[in-house]
Amino acid sequence: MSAHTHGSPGDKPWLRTGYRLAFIGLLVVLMASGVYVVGTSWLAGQTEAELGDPPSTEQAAVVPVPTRLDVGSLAYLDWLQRYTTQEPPPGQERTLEVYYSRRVFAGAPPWIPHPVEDAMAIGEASCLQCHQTGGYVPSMEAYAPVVPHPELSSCTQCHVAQEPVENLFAANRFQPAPPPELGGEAFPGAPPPVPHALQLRENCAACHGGPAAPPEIRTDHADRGYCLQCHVARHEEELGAPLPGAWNPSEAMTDKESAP
Amino acid sequence: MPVKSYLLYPMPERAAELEATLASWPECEVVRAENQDLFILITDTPDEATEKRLEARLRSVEALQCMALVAAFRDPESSSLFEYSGGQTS
Amino acid sequence: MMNRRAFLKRMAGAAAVTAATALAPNVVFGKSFVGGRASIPLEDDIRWDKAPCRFCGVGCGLLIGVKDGKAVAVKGDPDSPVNKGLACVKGYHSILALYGEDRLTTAYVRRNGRLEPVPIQEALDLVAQKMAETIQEHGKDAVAIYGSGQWTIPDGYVAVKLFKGLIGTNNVEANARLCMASAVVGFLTAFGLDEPMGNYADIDHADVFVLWGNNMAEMHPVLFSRLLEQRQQRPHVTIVELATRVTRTSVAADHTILFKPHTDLAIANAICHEIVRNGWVNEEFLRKHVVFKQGKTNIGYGLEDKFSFKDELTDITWEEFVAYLEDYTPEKVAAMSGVSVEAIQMLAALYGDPNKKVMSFWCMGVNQHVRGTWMNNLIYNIHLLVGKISEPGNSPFSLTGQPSACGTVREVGTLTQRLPGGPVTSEKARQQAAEIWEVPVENIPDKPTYHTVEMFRALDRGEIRFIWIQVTNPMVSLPKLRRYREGALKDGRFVVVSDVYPTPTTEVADVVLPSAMWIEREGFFGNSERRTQHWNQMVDPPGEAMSDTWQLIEVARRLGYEKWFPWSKEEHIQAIWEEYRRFHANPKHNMAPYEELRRRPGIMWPYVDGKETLWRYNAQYDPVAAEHAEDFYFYGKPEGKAWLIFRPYEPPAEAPDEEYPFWLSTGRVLEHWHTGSMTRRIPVLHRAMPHAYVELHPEDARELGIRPGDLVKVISRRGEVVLPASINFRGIPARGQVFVPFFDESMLINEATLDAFCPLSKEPDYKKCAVRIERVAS
Repeated sequence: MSAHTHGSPGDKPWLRTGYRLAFIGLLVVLMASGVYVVGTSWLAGQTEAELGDPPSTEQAAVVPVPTRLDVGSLAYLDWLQRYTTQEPPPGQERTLEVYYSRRVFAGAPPWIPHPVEDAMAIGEASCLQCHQTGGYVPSMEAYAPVVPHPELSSCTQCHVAQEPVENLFAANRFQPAPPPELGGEAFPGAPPPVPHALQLRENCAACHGGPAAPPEIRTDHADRGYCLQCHVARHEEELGAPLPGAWNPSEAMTDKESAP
Repeated sequence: MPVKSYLLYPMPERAAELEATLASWPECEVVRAENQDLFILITDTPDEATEKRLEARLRSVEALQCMALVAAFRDPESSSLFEYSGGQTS
Repeated sequence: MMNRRAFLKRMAGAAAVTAATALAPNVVFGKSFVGGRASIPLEDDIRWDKAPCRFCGVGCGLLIGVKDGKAVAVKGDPDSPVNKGLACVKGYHSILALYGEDRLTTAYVRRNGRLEPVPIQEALDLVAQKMAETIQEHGKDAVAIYGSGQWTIPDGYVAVKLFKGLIGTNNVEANARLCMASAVVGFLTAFGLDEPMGNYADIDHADVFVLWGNNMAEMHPVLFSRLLEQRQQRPHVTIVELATRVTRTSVAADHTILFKPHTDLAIANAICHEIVRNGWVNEEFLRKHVVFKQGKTNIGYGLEDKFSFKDELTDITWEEFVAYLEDYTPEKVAAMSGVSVEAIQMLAALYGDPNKKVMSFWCMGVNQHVRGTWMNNLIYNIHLLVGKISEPGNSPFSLTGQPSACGTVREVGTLTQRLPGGPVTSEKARQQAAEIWEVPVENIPDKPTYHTVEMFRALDRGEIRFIWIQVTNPMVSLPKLRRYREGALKDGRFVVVSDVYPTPTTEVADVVLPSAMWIEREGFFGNSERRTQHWNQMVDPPGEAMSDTWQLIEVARRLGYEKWFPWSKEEHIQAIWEEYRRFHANPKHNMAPYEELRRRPGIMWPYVDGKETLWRYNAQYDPVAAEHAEDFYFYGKPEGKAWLIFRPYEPPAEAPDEEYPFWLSTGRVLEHWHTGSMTRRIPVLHRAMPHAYVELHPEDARELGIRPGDLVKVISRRGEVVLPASINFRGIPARGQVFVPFFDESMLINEATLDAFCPLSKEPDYKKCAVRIERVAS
């Protein structure tokens, strides 16, 4: 795909303007902002709690309770909007095909496709220098893909560099499932649902916004902000609605409850 | 005409009443949260007039404290291509 | 055709759930709008089911995606309290370990020196026949089974029942002896009961983490990420590392304290010395909950065959303990260990500060140590002195290396001295086993036979004639390898190996049995925090591959023990669990029922009245402790008190000298697990770490004229290995030390290691021996 085509929504069937999905304007906006305010103030409350006095035995654990939802999208809203108006970059482009070719299966952590200078490096001082905010990296002649979960700083725990190896130790017959198909709208023009799991990819902007995003999945309306309101997350376990009979984390005992 | 979803908060102590009321309306599907007084309401109306009537009726429910629209979908093809329960054209 | 209208309603409903969850984070709706997968045309037909990770002892919960009978994807299980949705590179790619091209799918029998394929039933006939013959000719103690902490709980249980209960030999051992034995004896001597008192939730409460010789960033990466996350959220959190080598963990730690190998014994005592000297001792805790002991000294190294040692613990007074510590002033210990006086005082101050909760972590650095049990004791001593134990965030935490070292080896008791309910020397434990197994109590021998090193020595000597090795690779992992390889190859030895791939161990086998691994069968593991984890069979095993449990049952039936192994293929795992649970049916160890384990991402024992016991010995959390005390009650000991056992410094078994001037330490790397027989077959991991290396300090390398990639010979008194040099790569050893990972079967560093072991735990020291380094002329 050449660089000049992907800016136009006309190439992307799921962005066709003729869609007749109706949001009932004001109420939706109010709702979305309501969610946003509650979401961020809740997060702020958590942060405050964490920075307070060291916990005593009597206090509950100070781990924030993950909502298992799209907190990421909300937390990164400003950042996502920063990219909205950015034009697609010159130079090397990472297509969706390239994106998937660097993963063993869709959803697997991508390996590192470039040499790593310091094999002992960890976190903030190394990988995140380029991959937290993205941007053009002259030595790579490319925009750095943005990590959707920069809070996890031991990057090489999951992402490993690859050495040129002539022979594998043994061939492997693993066959991944094909990557999720694009589209899947309820009707032509409707917003497509999210076809992949959101775990560790809660921040939609990382892969769908900005110049490093594969053009096939780059959004042109990041300013709408609250992605999951229209693009429904399809994966059961991420909606807080457990399968019947399945164990639910809300059943987990708190430290207090476990006392006899 | 649209399929809509709302979040509803009942008046204090009146959650059961609200649930019973809405459950009896054919246009409404109501789902109550298991651990909080919070409802999801999904409405499905065949035409403009029914939709307006429903909205008015919802506003008059006394056990309802607060209602917020979340999403609404208008089925563009229902008029010509699709049969659904109710089966009317708009 | 799906009703479009209904689909719109689902989407509207799902959006509402999304919004509701953002407003009220813990809201739960009984109805799912996305459920009924089959009815949604978008669905990708991947079925997800939970399993603990196949690899290390952390026990991360994974969700395995299966499509058309094959595992196709992995994600972290967000419901698992262990990893909360995160995994490491091994876990994410673990399913590829099922699909290596050279997977064993048929049995092999050695004929005229070559392994020839045979139907598995024929191979099982031969195994049973050889076993029966060996018992008849050489006695029951001439047959042995050697498994590992990768054994599922049913595998280990069936092995113990068959060998100890029916055949009547204590020749049952496991690779965990090489890995966890010092931790076990540490727990038993100090508390009378094995396994940690706390759990991983301690990480969320602790202010200080002290890592004792534990490169967590590579070896327990998911837990290390939890540490880093805590430090990010609570900036006062401090990570202190004690190490002999700079690693990724050091780069991330707030303080790295490098010490000379083996001086950790002195450092721990120096910390105690400073705690006492500064008055940071928790006197009330000591008075109420601790007794002081000492053990034997000059206890040897187990280098000679048939070495035996029995510790004797005797009471000492507080004054005697304090007097013993006088040998460990920070100044003396600084001179000996290379650690500064200030660093020792800093550690003591962190442990001693009453306002800081401290968690200590350790694994192989402490356990694989000729004084490994002592080191475990010493870390408990520090925690006991300041009363920082058994409560949220105050936690000495022994980590494990294998996925079920705890669940199978330690809880089922697949060690020569153990039964599921206690030591074989205990009449009560034997009685209980006899009752549950419905065998005469005389069947169960009351004396331990061979621990692992001695078991392979006995194979070499000819006392053991038949050994069945399941799910481990001793011909890579044993120390001083040559002796044990040559012993296994001697005439008149019959070696059966159950595995999933060809390994150096299958090369010495007379029969190779193809195993069904992990999610190809139903099973249970038990991780480091007392969490038992169940998984379902999700895919079919390839060819004739059969689970280790069922292989053992097949052979047991051929030996005439059908009555004791009556279970059907469909229900045997559940039946075995229910039988095994009876051994632990008391509030100190009760295990959760099968149905609950199937439903949940792991449950911690003791599971009492439907509740997990999160902190043992603490009356707030532990119903047994609550019966006896208001605060703490260490009920593993008769007096209800923990034992603080003074342990001195004693020198290592071998130290560098003029001829062999370097210390050799061995270990793992992030990408490869254990001997690499699974992870090396995963292309993304192999490409990340294709071979072993010898890691040198840059100055040592320069003096020897060695550059990165040069071939270097590592020579010890036992053997030699040639490896490429690695300088400033994954780690930097201190001067005068080299490090070699042991995963690579083509560069067997265990040819060079020493088979000295801790006399209490019989766990070998893989971290310290003396070598010479030579550049290989190219």
